[in-house]
Amino acid sequence: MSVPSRTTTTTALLDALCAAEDGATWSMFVGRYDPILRAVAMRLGLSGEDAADVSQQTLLEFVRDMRAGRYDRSRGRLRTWIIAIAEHRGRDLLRRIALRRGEGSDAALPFLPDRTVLEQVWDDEERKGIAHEAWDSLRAASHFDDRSLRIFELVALRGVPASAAASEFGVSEQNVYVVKHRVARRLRELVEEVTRAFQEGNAP
Amino acid sequence: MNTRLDCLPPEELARLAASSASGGPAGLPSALRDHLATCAACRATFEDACGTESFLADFASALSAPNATSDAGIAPPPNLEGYRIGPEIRHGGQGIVYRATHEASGREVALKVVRAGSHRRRARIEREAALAARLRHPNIVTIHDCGALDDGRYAIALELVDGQPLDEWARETARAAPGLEGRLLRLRVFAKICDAIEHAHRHGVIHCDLKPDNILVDRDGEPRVLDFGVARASAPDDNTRITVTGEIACTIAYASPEQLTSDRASVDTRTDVYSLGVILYELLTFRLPHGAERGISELVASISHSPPPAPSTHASAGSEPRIDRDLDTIALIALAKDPDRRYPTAAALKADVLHYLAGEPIAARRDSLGYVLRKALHRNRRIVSLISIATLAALVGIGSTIVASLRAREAALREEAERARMRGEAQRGDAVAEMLRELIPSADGRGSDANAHQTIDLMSISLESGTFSDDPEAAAAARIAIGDVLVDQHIVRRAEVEYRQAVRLLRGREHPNDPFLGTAEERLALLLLRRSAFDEALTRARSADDIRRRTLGASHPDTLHGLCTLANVYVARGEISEAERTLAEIEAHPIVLAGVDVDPMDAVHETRARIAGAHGDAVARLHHCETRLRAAFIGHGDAHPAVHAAVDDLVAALPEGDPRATSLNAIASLLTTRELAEADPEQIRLLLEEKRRILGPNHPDLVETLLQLANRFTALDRWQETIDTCVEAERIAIPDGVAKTVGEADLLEIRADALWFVGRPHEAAVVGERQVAALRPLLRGKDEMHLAIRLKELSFRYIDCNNALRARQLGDEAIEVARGISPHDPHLGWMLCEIGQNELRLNDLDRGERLVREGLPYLDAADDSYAWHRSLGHARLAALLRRKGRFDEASAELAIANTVMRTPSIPARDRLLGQRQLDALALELEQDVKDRGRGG
Repeated sequence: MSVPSRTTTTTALLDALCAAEDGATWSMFVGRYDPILRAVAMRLGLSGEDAADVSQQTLLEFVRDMRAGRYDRSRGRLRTWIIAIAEHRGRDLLRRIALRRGEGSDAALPFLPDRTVLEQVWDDEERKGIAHEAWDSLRAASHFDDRSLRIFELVALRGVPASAAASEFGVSEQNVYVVKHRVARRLRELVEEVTRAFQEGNAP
Repeated sequence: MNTRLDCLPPEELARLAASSASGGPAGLPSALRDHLATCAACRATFEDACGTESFLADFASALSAPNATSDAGIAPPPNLEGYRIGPEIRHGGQGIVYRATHEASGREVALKVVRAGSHRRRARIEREAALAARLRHPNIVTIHDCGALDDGRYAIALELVDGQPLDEWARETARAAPGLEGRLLRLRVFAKICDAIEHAHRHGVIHCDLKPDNILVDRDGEPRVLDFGVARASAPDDNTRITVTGEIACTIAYASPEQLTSDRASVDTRTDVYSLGVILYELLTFRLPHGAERGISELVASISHSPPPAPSTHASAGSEPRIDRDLDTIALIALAKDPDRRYPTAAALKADVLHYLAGEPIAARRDSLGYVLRKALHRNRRIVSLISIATLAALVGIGSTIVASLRAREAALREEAERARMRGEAQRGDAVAEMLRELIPSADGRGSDANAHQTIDLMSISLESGTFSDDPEAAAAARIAIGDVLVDQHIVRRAEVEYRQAVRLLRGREHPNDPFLGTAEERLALLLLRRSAFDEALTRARSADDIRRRTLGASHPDTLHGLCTLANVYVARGEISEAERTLAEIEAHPIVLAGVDVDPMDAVHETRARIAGAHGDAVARLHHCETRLRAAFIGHGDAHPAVHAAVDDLVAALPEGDPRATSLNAIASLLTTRELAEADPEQIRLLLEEKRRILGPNHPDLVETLLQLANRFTALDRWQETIDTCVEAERIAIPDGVAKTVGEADLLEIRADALWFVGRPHEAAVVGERQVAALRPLLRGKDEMHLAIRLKELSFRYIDCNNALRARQLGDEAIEVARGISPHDPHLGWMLCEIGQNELRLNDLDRGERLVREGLPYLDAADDSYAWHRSLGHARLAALLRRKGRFDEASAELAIANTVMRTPSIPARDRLLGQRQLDALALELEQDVKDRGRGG
């Protein structure tokens, strides 16, 4: 597999991870799922560093499972599989923390969120991840000049009135709408592309 | 009247779509609506533009949604020439901070960016740069660079501090170093913060926004003050001075009363002293002086007009001792509403904190003679009070009125001494001496030698000036206690004086011959032996022996101990046959032969080793040293001083170059600490090997050490080693696999926990079954609650094994056992709630609800010592109801839980944990209610 990019599908990433040790693929995989898993772990009640640990352990365990043939993509969503690992790891850590504090090992467990809540956290974080990747891709590509991007950012994302942006950049208001429309169209394409990349390996 | 419209250009339709984004076509002018209804092309363009608007709204919200892994929002990073921008690291009211690298120098910096849109903000950060750049202090974050961004934002490159906000750090410290140590650590850090602020003040900079968020504590535990974002120059003619009229930019809870009024001219350096007071208060109590759960107007009113409660009125964090009056005073003076009544400078505040840390009188209370006396009493607390408060009062020149007010305490302490006296005439003097000895700071390694000497001097002066003049035994006990401490510190001559005084006092009584005189004589004999005055040592040892035989009898262990001293004196005098005869007498004694008291045995081998040494018989010496160590291992716990002494002597007896010396020395150093609970497992392993060597591989006394080792491994999360160690301990302690004592069953518990932690829940359950099988017959009718708890824990394990049937069986059994103890006990109530909650995972929610509802009345009827359980009981019911979709009932139960959790008698640490659970549940519930509102 070539060097993975932002739009490399999760399926391709998983295949590459199964095949061999590959720093770039691993980084891409971690970059994609670590923020999501941290959020899931924090939803379990863990603090920042503990959540980072749980995320790391979960990803490693997932890749181990996958290499050992225990994860069969045809049988379930990637999200479900990984969340199950994260939940187990998170519970484990919560118990250790509680034991160290001299509390009962199950003191914090009854109030852990349901699986559906964790899946919602996953989906929200995935949505954010997709937005960021698409936005970064848009800015990294030389598709639009800096001025167009700044106009778009101000008007479409920051709610600055088109008239204000027009006078700021010395263009007509119509021009602002044209720019906004063009950039938005490309951004939509990118979001769809990145969404496919995220979710292809995540489908049942 | 409607006018027909021609087709509109796409950009116009886009504009209309943007302006009607929320209302859709319905919000459009009717002429346009009509046109769109008839013109398919325009309608398609308009709908496409509306779709784009909707997409952009979603996209913008995803892009700027708060990051779940920090409190920060996500915003596009800045583009600053010369810097490579990294991830966002902080996000606050005044801007976003990114990690960045200065490309030319490679220096990592924190790049703070003020968001666009506010000239005032930009002016503020420009001022921050100008002000803070003048400050150079180890506890103030340095500014490297600053500049405007091309998008109108403003960036400032600060020294990158790898740390955490002060309040977060403080909470972690309280967890990591519970007890007084954590509090003292926080106070030391606080003193450094005061120093940083004092430095800024001296350079004409007032911070004006001091709060934990603006103070990071780095990995070395150094506080670093940052964000002089609303600071202003205190020098009136400074051109950087900008008045932010009417704006209360600081966080209100940390703002001083003068900052909350419009009279901002009165803001000066003492404003920061006030904020430091709030921070100090929070570091002591983990609360804000005026609370945090109030509305802004209420908070402002409270800060402006109400005195805060003294820190000591709050429950101390965790196991920390109660906050004392000095800390109350320091915090409340810093928090005075009138700046004139506060500490005039941060330096003065810091000085008092340092006084407090040094155990010295604080300046804020220096005017009170009574206070000085109390402080002196505190430093030398119990011993001084016990001996004579009047004497101390005379020493420090305090008048009789104050002395009178302290009499009550003196009387109470005298009663304590009297109780010791009543324990029995024979042990009375020994008991008092032991008690006094314990009170001297260094006697058990707690204090410094200087403290011990100071206390000893005070005790001596007190005794010389007549304390206990009516009570020669108490005076002798004090002399012996002083002598013992001096001997430990190798101050032999002075110790001798004290022991002689004790003997003189005891002999001067009407009926001098009692066992306590024997103690005093033997102490003197040992000391004389130590300084080679063998003749008098012999006289004293014989005298002690004589007294004890007459008063205690020849069989008493103290008499036998005395014989050991006598034998040692004979050895020292070269009278080996006398020594042998004396030892034979001890060894022939029934209690020694029966192994009832191993101490004499220990002493006999010590003396025999010495005799062998005197004869130059290295082999015999080594043999006796090993036998002695064996006796010590069998007779005492690993941490007992007798074991330590025996190891030391064995090391000395080893032939030159013996390889065992290294490991024995390591063991000796381990035993010196007497804290096996904190020891390096490798050292415990060495001790274990030595015990195996001396006692054999299957000796039951190995189990204690194996348990210590297993516990250390557990504490270090070394689960596999925990398991291996437990297996060995079980092999020795439970060779047939059936635990017959509670201790043996506990061994299984450690292994079960470890198995669970390494992800082997099924094995953990098997071992757990063996544990409860052992406990059932052992605890029935005795400590049944322990059995019930273990059954409950085991039922939890089966949930992890997805074995709902067994989990429920064990849960039922736990309830049944708990029911048998006391049908209306709150423990039963809690057990029912705990087993009921299992159904959150086992999914028979009706059963869960039934159990919890059955348990709650017992908790509701219990006193406030069960408030924590009561609160969580209601929370468990709320959790079950929530899962059943009965959100209103769940909210009502949660409200009860929250109210109960505020019961003052709940310790702060428990409340924190409990509240976290309640908050988590509240979030879930809120989400459910929202989802229901959306029809989800």
